[in-house]
Amino acid sequence: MNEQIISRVPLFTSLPANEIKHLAETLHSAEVPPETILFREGEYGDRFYIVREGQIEIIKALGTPDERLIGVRGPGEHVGEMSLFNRDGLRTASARTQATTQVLVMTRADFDALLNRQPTLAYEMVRVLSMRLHQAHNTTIRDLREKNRQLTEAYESLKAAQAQIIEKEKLEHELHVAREVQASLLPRATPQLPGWEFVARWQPAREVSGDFYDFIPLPVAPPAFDSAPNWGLVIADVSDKGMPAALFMALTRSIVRASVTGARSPADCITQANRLVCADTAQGMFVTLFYAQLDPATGDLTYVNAGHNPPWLYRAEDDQWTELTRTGMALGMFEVQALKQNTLRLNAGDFLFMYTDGLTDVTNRQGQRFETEQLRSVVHASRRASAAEMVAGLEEAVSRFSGGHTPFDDITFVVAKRI
Amino acid sequence: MDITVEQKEGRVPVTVFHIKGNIDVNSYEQLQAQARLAYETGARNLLLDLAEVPYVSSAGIRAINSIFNLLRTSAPSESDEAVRKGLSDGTFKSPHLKLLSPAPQVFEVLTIAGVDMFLEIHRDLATAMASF
Repeated sequence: MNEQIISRVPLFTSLPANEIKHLAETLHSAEVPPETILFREGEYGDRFYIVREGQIEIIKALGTPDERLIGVRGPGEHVGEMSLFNRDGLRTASARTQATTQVLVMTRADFDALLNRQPTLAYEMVRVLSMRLHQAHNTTIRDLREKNRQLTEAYESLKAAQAQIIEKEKLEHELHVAREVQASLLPRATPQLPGWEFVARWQPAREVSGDFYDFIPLPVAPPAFDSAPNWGLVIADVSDKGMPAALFMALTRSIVRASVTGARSPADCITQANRLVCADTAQGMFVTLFYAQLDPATGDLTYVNAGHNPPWLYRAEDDQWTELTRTGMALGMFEVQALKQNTLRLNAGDFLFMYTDGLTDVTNRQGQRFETEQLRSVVHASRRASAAEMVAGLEEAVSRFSGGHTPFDDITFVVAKRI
Repeated sequence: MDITVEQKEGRVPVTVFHIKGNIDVNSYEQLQAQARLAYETGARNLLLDLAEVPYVSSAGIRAINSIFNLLRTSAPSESDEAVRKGLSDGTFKSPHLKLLSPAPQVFEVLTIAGVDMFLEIHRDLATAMASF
């Protein structure tokens, strides 16, 4: 039985029959349980094993992340021969049994004696060795190719992700620049008029906003050149968010500025502005707008409300609120619309509170909205304070309400108070 | 937002959109697309049932506005001149697009934006159907 096995070993096939017989009788036999490590890579080795029954796995880098199987030896094959040929005798790989395995063991001493008896065995050794080497070499090449492919893939993914990040940063930068341009379009300061206080706040939800406000000096026509100009107060809200809204906002601001003069009625001016806005509106965009022409000397206010959420007028005399409701539709809806106007007068202690719906849309952590009623009561509480104090109180109330929640919509409001 | 489409017959065929959910920046395009689809398959009169719409934002107003423009025809009663005059004296109302049963807060948004100045707003289906 052993003779058969031994003669199947490629290294020994050319041995004479009597040598095979001798080996069969003298080689030590052993039975090895499954999963047993016969020898480990890097250890000193002085024996090799011929497999009679069972299977032995040859493993490189056993126990590390790079562990890989480089071969399996079955009956008639042998393992561990490299250590016999290697002067240092260190194992070049690890060997582990797969199942219960029966082996014939040949020590270096045995092998040296065999080589002495059969010197031509040396040629067989060389042939077998080079075959093994070729196999291992191929496996290594295949592994390297695979690793290279994986690295290339990872690199391409990384490049793509990088490109996306760069694109996003570019966009963010553009939006940031757009916001600065927008902010520069807003009045640098509120009007400084004796007997009046003006405060304004503009807080976009994102980088760019669809809200704006404006203070427009309206030169008085001759012959009253030396009297103080009237002022146009504007608050507006574009029906969209992001870049399109921001662009439309800038457009509307310019159109309104170009359309309002002290010479024509506010209703006519805004009707004209509406025509111009309609000419440029795409995608059904519209803008709600409140415009008031104020004569600071008399306190006369003539206003047009084009679909904007109604500003409040507070009257100190009777501690009453009035909503300045619409006198027409939002701009951009109907080119043929003719807007109307109303006139009233502000006396000492009266004020006008204009805002956009982002303010009442502020939500708290429970999802409740700030709502008009709450807003009015906060403003009412500071009705005798200065406009600056009122705004500070309002900002604090909003901040407390939202609990640090980021607002969903742009927040814009303007206070005009006669002192 | 969900839209259930119903075809009804009054004096003329009327397509009813039963809308459920908010009409806002996330859903207004869906409404516009549905209206366009209805128009392309022959609908010329549209009733928006807003009974189950809790909230309409300015994006929703935009959608309603665009649907109004979609359905506007070149009939003399809808010409620029007629519209201008009609808006001025409050007599112009779209014959093709009407609204039904908005909740109070939605009605408020509609009136602030001035949508009620050119669209009829009805409180019950029968009256709405009879108005077409």
